[in-house]
Amino acid sequence: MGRIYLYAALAIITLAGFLMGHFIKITGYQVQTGNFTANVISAVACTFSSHALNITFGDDIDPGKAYNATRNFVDNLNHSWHNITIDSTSTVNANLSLKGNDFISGGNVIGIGNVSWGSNTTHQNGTNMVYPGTANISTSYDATNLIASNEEPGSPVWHRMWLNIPSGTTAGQYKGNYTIRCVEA
Amino acid sequence: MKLAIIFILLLLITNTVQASVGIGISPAKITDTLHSKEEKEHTYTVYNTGNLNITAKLEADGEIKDYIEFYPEETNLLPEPEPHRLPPVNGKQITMKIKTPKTKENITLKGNVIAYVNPGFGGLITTGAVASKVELTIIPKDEELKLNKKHLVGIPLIGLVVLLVIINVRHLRKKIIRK
Repeated sequence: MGRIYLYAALAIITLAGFLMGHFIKITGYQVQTGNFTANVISAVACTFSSHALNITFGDDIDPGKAYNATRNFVDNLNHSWHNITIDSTSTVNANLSLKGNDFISGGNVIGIGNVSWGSNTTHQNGTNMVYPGTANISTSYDATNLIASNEEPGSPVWHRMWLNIPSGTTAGQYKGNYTIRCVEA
Repeated sequence: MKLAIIFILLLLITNTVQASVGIGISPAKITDTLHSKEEKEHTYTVYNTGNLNITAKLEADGEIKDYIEFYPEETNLLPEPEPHRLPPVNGKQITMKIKTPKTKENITLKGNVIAYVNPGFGGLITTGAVASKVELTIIPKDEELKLNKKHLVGIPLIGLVVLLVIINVRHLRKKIIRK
């Protein structure tokens, strides 16, 4: 007799379980969102001298040697004409970094790692900007070696570049590319 | 003498006003919380801080790259008048459309929205860029946390197993007492 009660209880509990599962909806958590509105404009902006975006290393260059970019040393003060200015509309300080892709001439390649650079945030002819420079360019933005870090709006940055052409490089007109990027520090 | 002075002045002006290419993006950073499989739009303003006409192109990088599109992807920009100020006078708006991935747990996606400007000259083809940081937190929709059919079957089954264990224990106890 006791067993019948137990089986009846078992059936009732099982049925109750199904009903609970069906009707009671258990949810994770409720996200309550409120809106604040404030019209604060932020921006990051940089201005590049045309020479900073127009780097050439000359037309008559030989393998096995290093060459200055043609605007590395200009005028009688040896000023660099490669400069970037954090624009006054920037509301944040900026980090400047660069990356590049290999030089190509038909099927021949000169690795972008053969280009090195040096920079100065106070002097257009800074004495630190000499070959072989601070670092070589790589194919991704170099977070360790920044052209400038935490630069304030209105600040200029100058840089020089060098190309070290490996021995045995096949003659040709090579073209590569590089990108200078400004981002909030 | 007059001619000489005019010539010197012209020379000075030519030396001080150099061609430049510039690009700005506003806002500098976007942080947002969205639901799984949600679509949302943000608007960027891009502007030209140089003194040459440019075409700016927008791209996303990092973890957000696959979930973002821009309308339009590129735009022509006239130089900003001096002195530069915000909001920019000749700036143009670009819409960023976000389509979030499906997720059952909170995830954070980080990346940059980069505005490129390429003057298109030089032996080393060079590009200037400014990047606006983006950080998106994606949370599951409420429906994705509700009980599914597996739970509806599983909970009663567990109850059944527990009950059977209790019955068997009681049965064993009675047997032992009888002995």
